[in-house]
Amino acid sequence: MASFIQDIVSGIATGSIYGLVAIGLVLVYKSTGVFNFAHGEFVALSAFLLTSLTAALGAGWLAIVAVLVIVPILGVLVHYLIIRPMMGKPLLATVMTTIGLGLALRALILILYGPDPRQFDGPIPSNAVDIGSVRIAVSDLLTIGIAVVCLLLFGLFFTRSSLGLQMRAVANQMEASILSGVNASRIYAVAFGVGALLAAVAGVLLASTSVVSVQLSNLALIAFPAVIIGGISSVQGAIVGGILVGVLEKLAEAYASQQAAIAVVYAVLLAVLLLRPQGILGTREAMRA
Amino acid sequence: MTASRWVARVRAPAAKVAAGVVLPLLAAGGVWGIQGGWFLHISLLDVNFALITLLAALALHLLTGRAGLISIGSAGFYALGAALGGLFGTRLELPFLAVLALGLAVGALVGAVVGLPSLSLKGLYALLATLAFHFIAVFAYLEYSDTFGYAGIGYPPVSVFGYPIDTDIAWYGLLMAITILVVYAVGSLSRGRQGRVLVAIRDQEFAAAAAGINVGVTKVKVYALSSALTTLAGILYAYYLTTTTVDLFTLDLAIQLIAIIVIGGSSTVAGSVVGVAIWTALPKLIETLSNQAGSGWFYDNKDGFNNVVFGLAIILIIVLRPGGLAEMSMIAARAALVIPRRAPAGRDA
Repeated sequence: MASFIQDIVSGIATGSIYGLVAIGLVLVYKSTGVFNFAHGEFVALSAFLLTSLTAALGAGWLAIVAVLVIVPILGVLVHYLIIRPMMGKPLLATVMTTIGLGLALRALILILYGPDPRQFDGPIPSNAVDIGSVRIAVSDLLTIGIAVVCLLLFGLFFTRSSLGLQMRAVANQMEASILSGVNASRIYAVAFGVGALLAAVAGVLLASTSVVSVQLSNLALIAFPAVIIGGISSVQGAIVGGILVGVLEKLAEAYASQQAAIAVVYAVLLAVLLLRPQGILGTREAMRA
Repeated sequence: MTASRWVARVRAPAAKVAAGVVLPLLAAGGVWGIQGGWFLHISLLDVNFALITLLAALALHLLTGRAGLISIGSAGFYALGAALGGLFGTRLELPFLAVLALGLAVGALVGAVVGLPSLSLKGLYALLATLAFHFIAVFAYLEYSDTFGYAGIGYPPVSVFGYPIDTDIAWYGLLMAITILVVYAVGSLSRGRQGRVLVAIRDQEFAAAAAGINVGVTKVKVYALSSALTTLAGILYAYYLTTTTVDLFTLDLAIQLIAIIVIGGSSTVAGSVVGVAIWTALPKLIETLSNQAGSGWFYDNKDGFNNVVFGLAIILIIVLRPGGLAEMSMIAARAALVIPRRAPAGRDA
């Protein structure tokens, strides 16, 4: 029982990181209609940048702030260089450009940093606390806490700030929002920036709690099912989907095997796609292909 | 078939490039390999792998270039092919051609299931379904390798109609025959009614439905056909290698196949041929360059540079020239040879 609860808690911790990555994907998809297959590479890139910047700046905190500034700028750049020329083209063509970007970024990270994993000694402690017979890592609790704070901040951003409102307006009714004076083109760029920021937060959290390797980019491969299972049109769904997938993965790892974990997650995805394609929290929408 | 129809078919520019230029080049490459003369150290072995890859690329061309659908599950279907080859060939000891036929049938069946989410109208869901298939197939390959009978034993020797296929040159003959058959089949399918139905679905799905095309059934059919062909490529790949491991079936392989058809041009058969030629030559070119540069940074990262070039090429081609290199060379060839202009084949996916 104790190990079951431990698995659940660590599943929720990884799941909340998946949630952050999934929100980034949903946000970009909702406001620009682009499904970014290079999102995971942004997570890995953030983690590697963090190790370089820590070495360059000397302080972990400073490096974290720098990464949270630099990576969103890269996201906006990607939008202007690659995504913007694709506006109005079929969805799949745009998806393929992001697949190409992911391939190139992953290879670039390997060229620049080599295949060996790196370590980031961040400000997150590596000890554990005992609650009864259940042992829980402090990093797991902190990860959940930071993810919750991020979610609250983004919730406030979307409901209270003008920019957040404009983003939601463009996502829901693009033509109407343009008529109301929203600069949709600028909002697209902002969406890519915010999406990259979320990837950077996930990258920093992952770098602080595990080793930094190019495998971090595979994280998005787990976030894709999270997005669809939760419902691609729903930000809350992304969080629920992320946590569900995180717990599912941890339980499959504990009771079956490491290899089985990703297959189980994707089997659930396939079932959802066949039976309830709008996801758990999504709403059915009339969409053109 | 009347002579005039035959001439009309050969006049199709895509077929002309494929049949007239690239296939003889591949054949010449094969002959070069046999005689021990090298071009970028491309051996007969590489040419054979290129032909197998061309089959998988043509399968993807049918799906993406014709019907506007997409799959990132090619490596999964390779794994399925490797597993079925083990099951039918090693375990049940069926003859090679029977293994190929059964593989095609099972591949089509599995492909139809994987294609079902494409009915929900959103291309993205179908793409993710193929991604799901990839992970499930790779896991099944790993988990049930004993059942499928290929663990540690390898695939049985191949013979076709009594002729043993046991050398690279014999494989070259077999693969060339299969490739020509598939190129012809894909080409005539694309030019016939079914091909126009696919293009109609790609370009105007609702108009196609309004014109009486059963869009859903057609989509599932094309997924089945494409998957069957990729499974066939997987069986050939496994038998040619004689043993397989799970490390062969990576997502990168599936992405590289997407890169192949995008770089060559996804809407023509010639595009797949050009793409595969580049896929074969580029690593060799980078290797040759890095050998000349000597040991060092460039040499150590030649695989990385290969993928960077591939990734950037996908982006540049989709953004700037969606027709791909095949179309660009056609334009150049038209200017040089004054080939009569035909109506454009429509936009690319």
